[in-house]
Amino acid sequence: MLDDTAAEALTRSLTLGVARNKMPIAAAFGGMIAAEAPKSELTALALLGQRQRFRRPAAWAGGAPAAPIFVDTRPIVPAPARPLLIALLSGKAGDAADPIARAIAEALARAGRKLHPFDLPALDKFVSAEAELLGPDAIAWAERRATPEAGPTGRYFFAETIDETNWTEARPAQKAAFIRSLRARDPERARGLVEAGFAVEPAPVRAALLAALAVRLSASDRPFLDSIAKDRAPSVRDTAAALIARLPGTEAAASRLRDVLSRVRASKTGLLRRRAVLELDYPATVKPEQRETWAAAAFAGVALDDLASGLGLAVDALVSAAAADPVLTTVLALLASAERRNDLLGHLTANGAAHAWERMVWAEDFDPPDVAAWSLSALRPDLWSGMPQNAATLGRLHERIRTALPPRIIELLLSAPAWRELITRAGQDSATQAARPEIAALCALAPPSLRQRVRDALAALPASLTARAFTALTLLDLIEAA
Amino acid sequence: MNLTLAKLEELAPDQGSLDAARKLLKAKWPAAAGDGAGLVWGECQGSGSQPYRVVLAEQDLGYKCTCPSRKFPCKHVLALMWMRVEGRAFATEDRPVWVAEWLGRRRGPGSARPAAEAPRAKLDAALAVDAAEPEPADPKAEARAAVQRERNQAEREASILAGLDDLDRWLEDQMERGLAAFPSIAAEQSRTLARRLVDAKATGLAARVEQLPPALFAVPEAERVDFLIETLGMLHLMAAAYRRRESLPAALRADIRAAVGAAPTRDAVLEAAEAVRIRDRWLVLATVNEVQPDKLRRIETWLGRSSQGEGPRFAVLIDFMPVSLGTVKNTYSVGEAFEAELVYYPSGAPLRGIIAQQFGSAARADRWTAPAGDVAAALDRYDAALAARPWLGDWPLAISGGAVHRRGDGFALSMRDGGSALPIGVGDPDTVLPLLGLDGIDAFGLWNGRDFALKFAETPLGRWVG
Repeated sequence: MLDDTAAEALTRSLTLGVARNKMPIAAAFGGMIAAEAPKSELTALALLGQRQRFRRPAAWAGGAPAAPIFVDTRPIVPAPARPLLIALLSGKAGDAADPIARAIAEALARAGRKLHPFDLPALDKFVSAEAELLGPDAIAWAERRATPEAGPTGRYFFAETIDETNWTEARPAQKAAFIRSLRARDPERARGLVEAGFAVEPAPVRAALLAALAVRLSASDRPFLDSIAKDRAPSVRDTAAALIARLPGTEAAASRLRDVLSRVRASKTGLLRRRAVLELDYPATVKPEQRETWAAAAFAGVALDDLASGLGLAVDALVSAAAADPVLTTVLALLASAERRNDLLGHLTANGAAHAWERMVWAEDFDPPDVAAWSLSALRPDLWSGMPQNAATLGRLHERIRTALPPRIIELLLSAPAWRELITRAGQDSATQAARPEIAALCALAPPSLRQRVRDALAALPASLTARAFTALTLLDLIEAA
Repeated sequence: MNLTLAKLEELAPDQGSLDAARKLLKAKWPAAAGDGAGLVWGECQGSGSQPYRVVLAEQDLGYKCTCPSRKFPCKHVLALMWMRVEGRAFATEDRPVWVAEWLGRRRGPGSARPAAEAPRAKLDAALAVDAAEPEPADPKAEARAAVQRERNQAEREASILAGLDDLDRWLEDQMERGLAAFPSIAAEQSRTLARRLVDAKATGLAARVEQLPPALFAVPEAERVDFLIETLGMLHLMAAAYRRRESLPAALRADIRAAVGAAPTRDAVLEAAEAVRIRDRWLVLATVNEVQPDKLRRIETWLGRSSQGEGPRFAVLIDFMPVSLGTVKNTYSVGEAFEAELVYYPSGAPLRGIIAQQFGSAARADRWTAPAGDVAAALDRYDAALAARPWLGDWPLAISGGAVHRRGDGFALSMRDGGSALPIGVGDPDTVLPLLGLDGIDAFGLWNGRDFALKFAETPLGRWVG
C-alpha cells in the first residue's frame, strides 16, 4: 500500500491536475480508501504528504573529513579581542576601511595572529580589504568564490615573505610592493622581473607594476618603456608615457625643465650682500587659489639639481632664494621628498613648507623608503596653521606609510595649536562628527608608548566622537600583549 | 539576572536610548528605592506634570515605565538598570501600591514583555489610584455571563468549521488545477484563503497559509511539487483532525485546537494539573525575532535542558508583539543559562513552554554538551514527534560528535562514518563555511523535514552561533 510506485502515480496526478488526471486512489491505498468516498482526494493528498514527511534525507557515504578551508596554523586572536573586532569592523556601526581598521590589520600581522574563523563572515569587508596582511585564512576567505577563470588571483596564495621565487603568484598589491622594494635595491633586476612576466598580466596589474618602476627611474628603463607604446590598454600606455616624460636626459625632460625655468623670476636683494630671490611667475589663467596645484603639477618630476643648475645656483642657495615664496618653497619640498633628500626637506618644512606633506601623501607614487626619516623631516605639527582642510589627509598618511609615526611627531601633534583648536571645536559641536577622521587617524598613527597620551587627549570629548577610538586603542593593546 | 554594562548594551534598542539614559543618571530620582529582594523602583520627572514611574525586577529584567516612549526598554528603565550596574545604593522600603499592582498583574517571571501589551489606559489607571474594593459576587450576573460565554464559544466553533470547509474547497481547487500551476498564483490564492480563515477565527491556519508563498519559493524549483503535497496535505490533515477533535486523546485535542487558532491562555497552562512541568537548568540555544505577515513580531527563545532526565529535552518560549511597538529585543541571549521550572503547553509532542518560576539569575554558560546521539537517533526522535503530532513544524534536533561537509552547492551535517546527512538550510552559506573540516561538533538546530537550520554548535574552535 502506498509504495513508491503508487506514490509516484498520485504525485503525477496532483502535478498535472486531478480534473484531467484522476488519482488512482483505490489502487494506491490497496482499497482502504474508496475513490468515491467523500473527500477521498483530500485524504489521499494528506496521507501522501505525511508519507513524504517521514522520508529520511539522503545518506552520506562518510570518508575523510573535508579539507578545512583554512590552513593557517597561526594562533587565533585572544578571546577578549573578538567582540571588539566585531564592534569596530562590522555592522552598521563598524568601518572596515578607515585608519583604525588598517592599524588593526597591521597589528595582527605583526603579532602573528589570525582572526577567529567564526568571525570571518561578520568581518567580511575588513578581511577582503586587508587579506594580504591577515594570512592564509583571510586570503582563502576573500577568494572563496573565485573561479579558475578569474586568473592568478583565483587561487589561494599566501607566503610570509614575497621574493623572486614566488612574487608572480602574489596578489596585485603585493606584486607592486615587491617591485617597488626591489627597485630601491636593484633597479635593473626589478625591471627585468617585470619585463619577463609583463605580457601575461591583466591590464590593472601591468599598470601597477609600471608605476612601481617610478622608483629610481633612469635612462636604462627607456627601451622597456618605449616597448609599451603599443600596449592594448590605454591605462598602461598612459602610465608608460608619464614615466618617459620623467626620464632624465630625454627631450621631454629637457622641455619640461625649460618650461619651469621660464616660470621662475630671479632677482637680487640686499645692499651689502646681494642675495638671490626667486618667485614664481604664474600663467594668467591660473587663479590665486589654484597656484599651488599648478606649480606642483608643473614642477613634478623635475630634478632639484637640474633646477638649481638651470638657475645658476647651488641647491642650498636655491632653497634660500625661494624662502619668500611659499608656493615655490612648497614645490621644492615636494621635489626634495621625491628625491629622498630628507635634510633638505626638513629645512624647507621648517621654513615655509609646513603643509607640503599634505600634497605628498596624496601623490600616487608617495612611498618613502625610510618612513621615520621622512616624517621627522616633513611633519611639523607645531608649525601648522591649521589641520588639513581635507579631513582624510591624516588617514591617507597612515594608508600610505602603514605604520605608526615616531613618538616625537605625535607629541608635537598633541600639543600643536592646530590640533587643540580642532578638538575644542569638536567638543563644542559633537553633533557634526567633525574630527572623527582625524581621531581615527591619530589612533592608527600613535605608537603604543603614546596610546595613554592619546586617551588623555581625547578624554574630554563626547563618547559619540571617541567611543570607536577608545575601543580601538584597547584592542590594539590586547593584540600586542598577546 | 546579573546586570552588566554588556547586558545593558544588548537590551538597549539603539545608541540614542543609551545616550539618553546616561543623561538621566544625573537627574533627580525622588522615591528611588528597592525591596532588597531584586525589585527596584523610582520616579523620574519628565516633561509632564507628573513624574514617570519606573519599576524593574532584576531577576528576569521585567520592567514597566509610565512614559509614552515607544522604545522598549525606554531610557528611564535603562537608566534604572544602569544605576544598578554602577552599584548605586537604593534605600530598602516597602513596595508602594503602584509597584505591588504591577507585580500582581505580571504573568510570571520570564514574561518580561513590555507592558504596552496591556491597554495603556488600564495600567495608567492602576498606577494612579489605589486598588479598588472588589465588588460583591452576583450569581445571576455570573450565570448570564456563563451562558453568553457558551453562546460565544458555539459561534466561534461554527465559524471555524465553516472556515475549514472553505479550506477544503480551496485545496480541491488547487488539486484540480494541478500543483505545477500553483506557484504562479500562490501569492494571490494564499492571501484570499488566509483572509477567509482569519474571518473564520482559524488564525493558526491563516498564519500557515500566509507563510506558504515565501516558504514555497525558498524551496528549489524541482522540489516544489513535493513541498506542496506535504504542506497542503498537512492543512487538510489539520482540518480533519479539528473536526474529529472530541475523539482525539486530550493532548492531541489541545494540540489541534491551538494549531487551528484556539490556544489555551497562559494562566490555563500554568494552572493545568496534568501539564508537563520540568525544573532544570536551561541553556538558551537560539533566539528568533521576526515579523510575521500578520504584522505581529514573533519572539522565540529555544532552550535545551542541561540534565539528561525524563521528559522533553528542549522547549521554546514564544511571545508575540505588535510591530507598532517598535524594536523589541529578546530577554535572553544565546549562551545564557538559568534555572527554572517550565510548564509545557499540552501537546502530543510537548515543545512550547512557559517559565512558571525562575530560580536565580541567568548567566553566561560554559560549554554545552549535546545529548548523546547521532543523526539517525535524532531523526528517530523527530519521527516519533511527527507521529505524535502530525502537523509538526520546526523540531529541535541535537547531534553529538557530528561534522559539516559539502553537498552539492550547499552543506550537510552528518557523522564522520556516514549515514543520514541533514542538509543545512542557510540564508547565508558564508556563516557555515568556517565549520568545514571541524570534527566532533555538538550541534543544535531546527529540522523541518527538509532542511536543518543550524543554530548553535560547540566545536574544537569554540562556540559557533548561527
